[in-house]
Amino acid sequence: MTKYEFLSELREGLSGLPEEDIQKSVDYYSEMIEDQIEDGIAQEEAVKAMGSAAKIANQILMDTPLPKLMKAKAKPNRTLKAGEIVLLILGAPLWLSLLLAGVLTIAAIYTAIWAMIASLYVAVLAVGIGAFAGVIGFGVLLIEHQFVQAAMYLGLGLMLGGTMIVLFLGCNLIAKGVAAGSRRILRGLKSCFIGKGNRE
Amino acid sequence: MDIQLKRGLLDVCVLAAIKSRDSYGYQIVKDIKPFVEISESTLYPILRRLESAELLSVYSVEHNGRLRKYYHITPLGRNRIEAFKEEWKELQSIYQFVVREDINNDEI
Repeated sequence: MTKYEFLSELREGLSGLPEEDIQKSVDYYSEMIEDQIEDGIAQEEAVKAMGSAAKIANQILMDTPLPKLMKAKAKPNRTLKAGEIVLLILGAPLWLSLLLAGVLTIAAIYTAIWAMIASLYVAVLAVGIGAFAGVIGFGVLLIEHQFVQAAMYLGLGLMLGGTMIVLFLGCNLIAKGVAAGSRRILRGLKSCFIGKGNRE
Repeated sequence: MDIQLKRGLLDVCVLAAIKSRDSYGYQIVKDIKPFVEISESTLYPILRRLESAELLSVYSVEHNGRLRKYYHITPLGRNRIEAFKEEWKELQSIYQFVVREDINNDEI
């Protein structure tokens, strides 16, 4: 593969991104190949050392922030015909509301999941307050010399305290798992866009 | 090596490669290669990341009728190297702990 072929393949893989970004990547790889050739390495070898242009393009797209990526991939590769523009505008009430519904649904699911986690933490807090109340009750009953009840309150307080610690650790695990999961979903979403673009 | 760990190490390696004089992509790869496995294609995202975090700045110089990009370390970049040295001390004490555990087990 020649340097020219490699660079045009890279450019194709990045199509849709702002021209400035594409040029920056192409410049970098062009410089790299030129520098290797200057160092006495054959063009063929220098290009091979770069690896696959498609893979490099995918990596660059993966590192691109999601909004920019969506804009890049949603952009048609050709200019729209007048009829298509008219259709787009006339269809706006339909596709715009569908798009909005989609975005809102995802946002709602996200909010619901985090609200659930927040409610778990509130439950843990409630158990904690119970434990605290138990200890206070123990103190008050001790002053009033009701030793049996005092012992019961202390026991309940300690039990709730222990439960709280265990539940708190569990909640942390769940929250961490959900955060990791949503990161993975974001990556998956990104690769969806990239995959679609490069199959065309 | 763990991917996250290697990523962080490569960032610092690239900064170290330009800390005493400005350098360009191919030279950076050549300087680092004897120490860490790095390719031209792995260097690119690192340079982009370091540039957007303002740990280095970029300027172009004409070379043999074409432009070559040179990378210059910023004060923030130097701070990152200093921070790495501190982290390394911590890592070393962790390593000492891990190794000592090993010796104890042998004695039992």
